[in-house]
This record gives sequence, C-alpha cells and structure tokens, in this order.
Amino acid sequence: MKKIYLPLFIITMVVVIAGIWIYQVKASTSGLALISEYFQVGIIVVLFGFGIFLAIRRIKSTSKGLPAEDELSKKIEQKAASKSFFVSLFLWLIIMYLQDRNGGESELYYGYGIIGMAILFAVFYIYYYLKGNFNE
Amino acid sequence: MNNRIKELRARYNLTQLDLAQKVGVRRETIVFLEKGKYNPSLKLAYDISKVFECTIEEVFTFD
Repeated sequence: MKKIYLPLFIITMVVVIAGIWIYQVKASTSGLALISEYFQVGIIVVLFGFGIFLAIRRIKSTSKGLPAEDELSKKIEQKAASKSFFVSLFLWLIIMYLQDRNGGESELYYGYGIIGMAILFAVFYIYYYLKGNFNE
Repeated sequence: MNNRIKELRARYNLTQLDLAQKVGVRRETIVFLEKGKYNPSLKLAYDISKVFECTIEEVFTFD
C-alpha cells in the first residue's frame, strides 16, 4: 500500500512546501504579479495532477492483481530521476545567478528551484514513458 | 531484438492482461515488449518463455 501512495505523497509535499514558500514571500496581487501567481498555481495543479496520475495507475494495476511496480516502471523512474537531477544542477545555477543579479527573498528562489525540479522529473518521466525504447 | 510474444499469446489464447498476471508485470510492460520498445530482463524473458512452454531462443531472437 505504501508503494501506491508514495509518489502522490512526495509530489504533494513538494508542491505544498514550495507553494507555501512562494505565497509567504509574494504580497503584491495586481497586474503582472497576479498573472504570475495564477501561472504558479497552474504549475502546482499540473504537478499535483501528475502525482494523482501516477497513484491512479498504481491503484489500477493492483486492483487487477498486477504489481504496483515492475522492472519497466522502475527503469522509467530511474532514468527520469537521473536525468532530472543532472538537468536540475543547471537549473540551480541559473536560479543562483538570477538571485545574485536581481536580489530578493531567498525563499522565493528555493520555491522556484524545488518546483522546477518537480517539473523536470514530470517532463522526463512522461518523455521516457512515451519513448519507451530502453534497448541501449 | 525481436520477439514472438504476440503470436504465441494468440496461439495460447491469452490477453495481455492474462500474460502480465502470469509473469508478474504490469500490462503496459507486455505492450512495450510486443512493440519491441523494451528488452526484458533475463528473468522476465525466462518467465515468458515458461508460460509459452518454449525456450528463450524460441521467443526472443536477435537481429
């Protein structure tokens, strides 16, 4: 049962913590700032949807008497995790540069970084899930 | 690597779900295998061959 809800739990925690960070720092709610906030909420909703998608897939599998995880799904997760980790190193470099250049609250940039990492993982997961060629 | 999973599955009158349940993987893994998008581990190849009462070489062939 733990395996079924694990991705949902992790992604939910990530987006909730990042969301709290962002909204603690952001005070202005007019014009471009408001659009930016809606955009951030949209990203959080998409990530939450991705977590729910993973959890539903696992629940469906177990309800049919199939394992929640198998060698293919583990491979997809491993590849997505390793690739997103590698790319996120550059993401953090960019975020550090932007903070250095623009200044502002560190917590805001941490929030962006964590959400960025979650987005990268989701993107790579979907890419490898659709590509499916693990014959190298 | 090519395989005859789809052909053997039809011969044994098994659905993808049936085969997945027999070898203990998810149905999409069988889909990926049939499409040639994924090479199975030795254990999975052995389990699939066992279901079809064949040797691994009879199910999976290298180009």
